[in-house]
Amino acid sequence: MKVQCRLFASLREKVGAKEKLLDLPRGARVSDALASLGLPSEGSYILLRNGVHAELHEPLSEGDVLSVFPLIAGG
Amino acid sequence: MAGWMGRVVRVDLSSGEIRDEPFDQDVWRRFLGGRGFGAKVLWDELRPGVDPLSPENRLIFAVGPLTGTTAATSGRGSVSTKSPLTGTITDANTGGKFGVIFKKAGLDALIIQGKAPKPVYLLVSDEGIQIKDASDLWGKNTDETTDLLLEREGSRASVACIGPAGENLVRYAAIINEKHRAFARGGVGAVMGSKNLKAVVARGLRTVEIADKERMKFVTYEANKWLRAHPITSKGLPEFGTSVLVNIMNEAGIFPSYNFRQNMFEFAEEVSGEAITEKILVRKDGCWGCIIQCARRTRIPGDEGEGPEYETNWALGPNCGIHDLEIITRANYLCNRLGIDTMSAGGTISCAMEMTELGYYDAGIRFGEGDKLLEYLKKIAYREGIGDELAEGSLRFATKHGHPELSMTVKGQELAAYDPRGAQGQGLAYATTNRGGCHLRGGYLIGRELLGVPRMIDRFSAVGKGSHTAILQNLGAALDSLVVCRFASFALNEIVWGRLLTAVTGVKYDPEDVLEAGDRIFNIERMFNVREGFSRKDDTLPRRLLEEPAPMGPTKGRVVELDRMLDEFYEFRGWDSNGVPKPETLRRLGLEECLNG
Ligand code: SF4
Repeated sequence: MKVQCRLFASLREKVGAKEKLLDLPRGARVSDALASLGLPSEGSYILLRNGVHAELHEPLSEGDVLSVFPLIAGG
Repeated sequence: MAGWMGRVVRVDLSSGEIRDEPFDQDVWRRFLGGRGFGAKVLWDELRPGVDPLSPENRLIFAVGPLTGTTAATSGRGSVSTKSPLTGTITDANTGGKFGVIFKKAGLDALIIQGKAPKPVYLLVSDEGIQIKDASDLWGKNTDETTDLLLEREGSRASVACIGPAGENLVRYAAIINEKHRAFARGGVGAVMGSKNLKAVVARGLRTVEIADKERMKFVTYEANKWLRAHPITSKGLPEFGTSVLVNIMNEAGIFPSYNFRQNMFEFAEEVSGEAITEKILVRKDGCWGCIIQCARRTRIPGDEGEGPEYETNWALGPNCGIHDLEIITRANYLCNRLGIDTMSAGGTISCAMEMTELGYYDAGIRFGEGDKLLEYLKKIAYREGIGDELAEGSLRFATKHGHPELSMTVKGQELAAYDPRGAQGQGLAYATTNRGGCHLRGGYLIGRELLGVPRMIDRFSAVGKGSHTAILQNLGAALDSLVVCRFASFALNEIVWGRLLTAVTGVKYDPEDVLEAGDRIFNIERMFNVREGFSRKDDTLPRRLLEEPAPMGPTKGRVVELDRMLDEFYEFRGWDSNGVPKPETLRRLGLEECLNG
C-alpha cells in the first residue's frame, strides 16, 4: 500500500527529502513507515496521520499522508 | 535586598516631579515583579473609565526578581497600562536587553503618569533619573531615534522608543527596543505617545544581589542542562526559529489565512521556517544571556534586520493572502521602524481586505496585494487617508462600516496564528485572556493540543480544557512577572522556577507558590477588567469561529464549543457564572484589596 510521507525541519536533511512515497505491506504501522525512512522509532517526533495526531503503533491505510516533525515549538 | 533592587520611582510628566516610592516588600513577594507589579499598581491607582490616552493613565515599566541574573532567559522586560485598543488591562513583554539594563540602572519599576508639555525622553541611569528634551526626535522612526539617543547617552545604553505610530496614537502602536525588539501588543506605544514621551533610555552597571550564590550556581547549571537536553530548546527553536510552526499548523488544519476565511494556506511552505532558513537567514540571534537563541537575523535585497517571527510572518503574510517572503520581511522591518504591532496591523489590514472583497466597503486593498500592504502600513502610522480609520484597529473599523463580525478579535485585540476550531482549548484561551485576543496571556494551549509538551491532549475535545487553560494562564502570569521568556517553559517547569526564585531572593517559593502567585496576578487583572465593565459577555470569539464550520482539511466541519468550556473554566477558577471572581476566591489568593473594589 502507498503512504505519502512529508518531512519537516531537521528531518529533511536527515532523510534527504521533503516528501517520500512509501510502498508498505498491508497492515504496516506508523513505526514501520519511520523505519523505512531510516528514522529511529525511539526518537522524539510529532506525528500527524492525515493531519491528526498519530501514535507509533497505529496501523496505516492505503493513501494515508503521514507528516513527521521533530519536536518543535514557537509562538 | 536580594533579587529585587528595592527601588520604585514615580515620574509625573505633567509637573516634572520625580520621586522615590516606598518599596513595599510584601507587594513584591505577592506579585513578583513585571506584569504582576504592573497589575497591582493599575488596580490601586486607576479610576474605572479612565481614557487610556489621557494623562491619568499609568505606564509602568517593571522587571522582576530574576531579571539580569544567571537564570535562563532572564533578559526580558515588561510594561503595563490600560490599553487604548481594548480598554482592558494590558501588559507587553520584550526581549533584547532593555530589561536587564533597566535593572542595572538600579530600578525594579518606573511608574509614569501625566503628560509632558512638549516631547521628552527619560534617562534612567544609576546616576539618576532625568526628563530630557526630545523635540528634535519627534517624527523620527525608531532606528533614527535609537541611533541619536545612543550617540547622546553612550553606546552602553539601551533605548526603548516609539515611532510615528506611537506619536500619532495608533491604537496598536508598539514600543521598540534595540531597534528590533518590541513591547508589541495592546497599544502601549500609543499610551507613551499620549504622554509626549518619545523614549526611555536605560543605562547602568549595578549588579543584582543573589541571596544564595552557591545554590543559584547549582540551580542555574541544572536548568541550563535541561534547556540543552530538551529537543525543543536545544534544537527545534534555535535551528529554524519560531516560524518552524508554519508547516505543522498548516498540516493540522489550524493555520488561518485570508482573515480566517480558510484554516489552511496553499502557499504555507513558501513562508515556513525552513524557507526562511534557506532564503533570508543571516544567522541566529537571541536576547541577553539566552542560550536558546531563537531569533533570526535576516537579509533581503537592500535591507537587513530581525524576523519575521511566526506570528508576524503569519499576520502580515498568509492572513493577508500574501506568500512573498521578501515582502513579509520588508513589512516586518517597516512595522519595527514605524513602531506598530505586527499582529494587530496584519489583522486590521486583513479585515479591510475582506471588507473590500465582499463588497461591504471599498478599503482599496485586496488579499494578496503585498506592495499595497507596505503602503498601508505607512498610511496607518501617519494616519493618512484610510490609514486614519485603520489606525483604530479592526473592530472599530469593521463596526463603523456595519460588519463587526469580520474583525477577528477578542475584546478588540486581533487574534494569533492558530485557528481554534481545530484546537478547542486554544479557543477558550483566546476568549478568556485579560488583554484581549492573545495566544500567550490566554494560555498557550497549542503546546498541549498540537506540540505534545508536556504531553499531547485531544485537540478536538472540549472536555477538561477549563483546568488546562487556567493552569497555563497562571503559570504564564508568573513567568511574565519573574520576568522570563515563555519559551524556556517548554523545558522548565514551576519546580525549577521556584528553586531559582528561592535562590535569588532568599524567600522560599515552592512550585505551588509560583502557581499561586500567577493565579493571584491573573485574578487581580480580571478584577480590573470587571471594574471596567467586562464580564462573560466579553469572553467570546468572533462569530466565524463559533458558527462557521472550518472549511478545510483535518479540522473541516468544526466550530469552537465555547459555552461548555467557559462554564467549566469559571468553576475551576472559582468565578461565578458571569465570570466574576467570588469573594472566597479573592480571599484564598490574599487579594483583600479587591474585596471592596
Ligand atoms: S528563547 Fe528566544 S525570545 Fe526567549 S529569551 Fe531566548 S532568544 Fe529571547
